[in-house]
Amino acid sequence: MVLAYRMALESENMEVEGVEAMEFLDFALGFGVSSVPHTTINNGTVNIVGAVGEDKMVEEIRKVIL
Amino acid sequence: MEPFMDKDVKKQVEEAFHELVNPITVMLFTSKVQACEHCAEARQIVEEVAALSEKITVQEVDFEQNPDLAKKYNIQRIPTYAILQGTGEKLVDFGIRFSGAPVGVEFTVLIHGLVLVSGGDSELKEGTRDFLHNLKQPLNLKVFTTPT
Repeated sequence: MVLAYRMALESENMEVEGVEAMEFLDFALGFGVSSVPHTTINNGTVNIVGAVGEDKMVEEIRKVIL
Repeated sequence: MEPFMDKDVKKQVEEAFHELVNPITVMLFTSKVQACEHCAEARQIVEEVAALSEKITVQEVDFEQNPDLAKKYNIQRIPTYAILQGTGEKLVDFGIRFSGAPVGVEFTVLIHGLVLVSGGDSELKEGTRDFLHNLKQPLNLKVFTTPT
C-alpha cells in the first residue's frame, strides 16, 4: 500500500484508498478479495493479488490506460 | 478506553515523525447517524497519533452533515481518513485515503502515509515519476488489507 501512496504523490489523477477488508467485508468480496494485499484499479479493471514492486505496478497501470 | 499505543510504539512513532516536514491535516469522516462500529477506534487512533506531533491536525467531519466535503474528497464509506498536506484553508490533496480503523500492520501504513504526505517526496525512480506525471486518465486504486 505504501508504494501506491507513493505513486499518488506523483500524479494529480491518481487516488489511492487503503481499505480494511474485514471492516468492509462485503465490499471486499465484491472485488473477489480472498487474500491480501489485493489491489484493484478502476473498479476491477485490473486486479493485483499480493505485494508487487514499482516496475510491476507501473506495468499493471499501463494495462488500464491502454 | 485503553490507549491504542504502548510506550514502545509511541517512541517509534515519535522517531518516525522526526521526518515530518510540512504540516498535515487528517480529515476523518465519521457519522452520528449511520452505524459505525469502528468510528470511535479510528478517532482514538488518529487523536493519539496527532498528539505526538505539533505538525498534525485532526479535523473530524460528519459524513451526512457535510456532503459537499465528502464529495470533494470522494469519501464513499466511513470511517475514512483523508490525509492532506497543510492546514486551514491551504490544503493539498494527494488523493491518499484510508478506510477503516488502521490496526496491526495497517497502523504502520498510516504512519508512512502521514510522513509521505508531509514530506511530499515519493522516492520513486525517475522513470516512474515521469510516467505518473504524464498520466491523463483518472486512476482509482483500492488496496485491501487486514491487520495481520
